[in-house]
Amino acid sequence: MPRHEPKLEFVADMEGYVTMPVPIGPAAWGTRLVFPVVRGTVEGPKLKGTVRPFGADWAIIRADNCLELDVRLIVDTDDGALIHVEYRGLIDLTKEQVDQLLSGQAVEGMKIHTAPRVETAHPDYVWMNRVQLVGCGSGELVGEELKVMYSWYALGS
Amino acid sequence: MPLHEPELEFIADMEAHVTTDAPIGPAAWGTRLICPVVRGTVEGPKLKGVVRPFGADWSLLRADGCIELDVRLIVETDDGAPIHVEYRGVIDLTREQVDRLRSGRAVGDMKIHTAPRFETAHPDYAWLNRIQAVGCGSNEVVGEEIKVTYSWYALRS
Repeated sequence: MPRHEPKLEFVADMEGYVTMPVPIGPAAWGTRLVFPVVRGTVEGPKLKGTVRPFGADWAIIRADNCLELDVRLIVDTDDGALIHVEYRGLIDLTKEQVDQLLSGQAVEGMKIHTAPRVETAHPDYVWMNRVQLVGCGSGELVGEELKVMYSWYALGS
Repeated sequence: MPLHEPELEFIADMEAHVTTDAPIGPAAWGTRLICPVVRGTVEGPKLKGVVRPFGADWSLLRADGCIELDVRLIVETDDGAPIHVEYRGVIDLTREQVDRLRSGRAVGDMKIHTAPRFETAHPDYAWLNRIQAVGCGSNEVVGEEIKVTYSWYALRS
């Protein structure tokens, strides 16, 4: 034990700017916080491009103070490939941090953990269709916008 | 670059026996290969129990020769906690493995990569609700059943 040892191969860093949401809720699942993507960049050994200015994190704050991510976005690579990126994930928050977020402030030291999946038709990037990714990230308020910074890795074994 | 370094904290090894139901397809998304869980065990430093004999992998063999996993199962810990486990994931098959599968034969030695999430109400296991996990696994054909083994890790940074 453990029977399988994971390997993580760095794919890219993603830096995105999103606008702070107007909370919707509490409703059935919790409080919905939608963070629309304004702009972003992706850069890594095999991947370089920009994030299109639509797409969002359709997040939910749960009753237990975790934030559930639900993100879809499109990356345009510098060599013309379109890549659909989709990820769920979690931020483990305290009640105080949730109250801060709901009042429009960013939270210091947020640790974001995600599990991205990718769809693309471009032959140079189809390898991404065949991998489970993991993402580790953080966020900081920059003026009126929230800057999120991720590192994406491909899960191997 | 990279901006964030991930850490993987070992949670448990999971071993399960599944059967393979008759394939459904090809249909809109591909060929559905449903693998019902017969039995299983989970063992790790903070987690020990059995896998209940329902639940399945509602997997899909895609046109590009990857298998998409879509698993839900229930773990019952030795101290009485039911834990709902849910994971998507991907298996990157070789050409050979795809041909074997399409001709109705079982295939072992797959490399399986997943992204589990957990739900439980038991206070000793509530920490599982707050993590994004990753899973690395493989399989072997054992008579009429397929034995899958995984190692689960919590994604930290």
